[in-house]
Amino acid sequence: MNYLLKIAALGVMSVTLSSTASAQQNRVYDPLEPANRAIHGFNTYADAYVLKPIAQGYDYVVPKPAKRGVTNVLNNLRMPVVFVNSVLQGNPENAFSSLWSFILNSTLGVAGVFDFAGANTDLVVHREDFGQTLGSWGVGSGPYLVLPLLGPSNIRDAGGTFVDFYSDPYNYIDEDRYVIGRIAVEAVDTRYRLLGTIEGIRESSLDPYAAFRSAYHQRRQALIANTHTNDGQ
Amino acid sequence: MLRSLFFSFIVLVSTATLAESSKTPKTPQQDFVHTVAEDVLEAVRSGKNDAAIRAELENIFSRYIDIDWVGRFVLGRHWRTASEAQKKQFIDAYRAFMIGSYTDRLKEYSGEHYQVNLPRNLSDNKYALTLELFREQGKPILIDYKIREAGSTYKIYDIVVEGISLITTQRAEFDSVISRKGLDALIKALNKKANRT
Repeated sequence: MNYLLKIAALGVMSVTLSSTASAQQNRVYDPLEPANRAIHGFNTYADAYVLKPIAQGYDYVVPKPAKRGVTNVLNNLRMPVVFVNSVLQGNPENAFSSLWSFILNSTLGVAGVFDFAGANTDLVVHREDFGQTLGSWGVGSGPYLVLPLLGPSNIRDAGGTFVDFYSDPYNYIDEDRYVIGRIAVEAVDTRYRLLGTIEGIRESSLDPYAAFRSAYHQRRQALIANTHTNDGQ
Repeated sequence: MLRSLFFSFIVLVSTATLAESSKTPKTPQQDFVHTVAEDVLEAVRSGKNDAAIRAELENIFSRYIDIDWVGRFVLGRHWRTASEAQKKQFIDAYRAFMIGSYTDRLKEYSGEHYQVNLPRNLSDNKYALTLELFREQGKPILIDYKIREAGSTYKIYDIVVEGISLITTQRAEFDSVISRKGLDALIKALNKKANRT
């Protein structure tokens, strides 16, 4: 009960927060640009000296099948949140796929190490989160935000991340180290999968801050609309 | 026995159709994107030195990309306020920048398989085609080519990767640079970036 109340309260909060933001066209609404640029600068350093070297080391040391296994486990752990958001978006097909994929991969896929559902069924799961759910309800993105260490976001998606955290049963495990451990592994896994991509954008860009801002906005729009994307998995 | 015969027949037929659909483009639009992809792959796989590959890519870019239209689009509202000299300088710098910054990136894709899906009609003479780039692991990367009719052939005017449009991103980026430093600074930065790679 407590759990459900929390979700509802947070949901209402982030809707009211972001619905005040103006609708936007091509230009990403960024009233906090000076602060965002400063955080972007900090993140670039933190990435260059901490996260990227760790991700490169991980890529170098860990064999491919093991890395794939880690990605699969993390994907599978997301399914409950994907399920909840698919239901909230009125998308029964994705709700079904995420639930069924979670059941199959958690059992036959050995706790999610193997993507049994992906390999043996036609189930297609679009990754949904609460930021996308709000977007599908017509909530605008609100001001663009660069979060320390987490990177590009906006008011709506940051609120969504918060809601997703509290709506994920996994985070109610009593041992903090499991919760924190997953976040750390997720950071390394994500960065490892983006090795090359981020560098490519940075190298071919005259203003990486503006490039990431635009790219993030477009990507989220595509994810909300579920158009031409494989969710980068 | 009959069952296994039937089964192998089904497998045969389905693999045959699969190979068919991925190899033979069915529409002129697919044919065009296929030709572009093959030309790019041929250039980067040729094993020639960087200068030769670059020259070849330059050729491909001018043949298949509507660089004048794209250059105009990415400058956005700043195109109208630019002088004729600036416009010309910008287009030249932009072309060099695109070739310079994409030569290295294109090389990374040389070994991969792909498939061009059916075109979607965007308006009377514009189409979008999705190219699926298959990877060793994970789902394929989806790249949308947006093309428009140009005489008897087509020209590319945008490339959208996983929902992110190249020209929209560049327009936002260039707008940011121009607002802070001006158009001449952008042209200078483009030239600098182009010559460095």
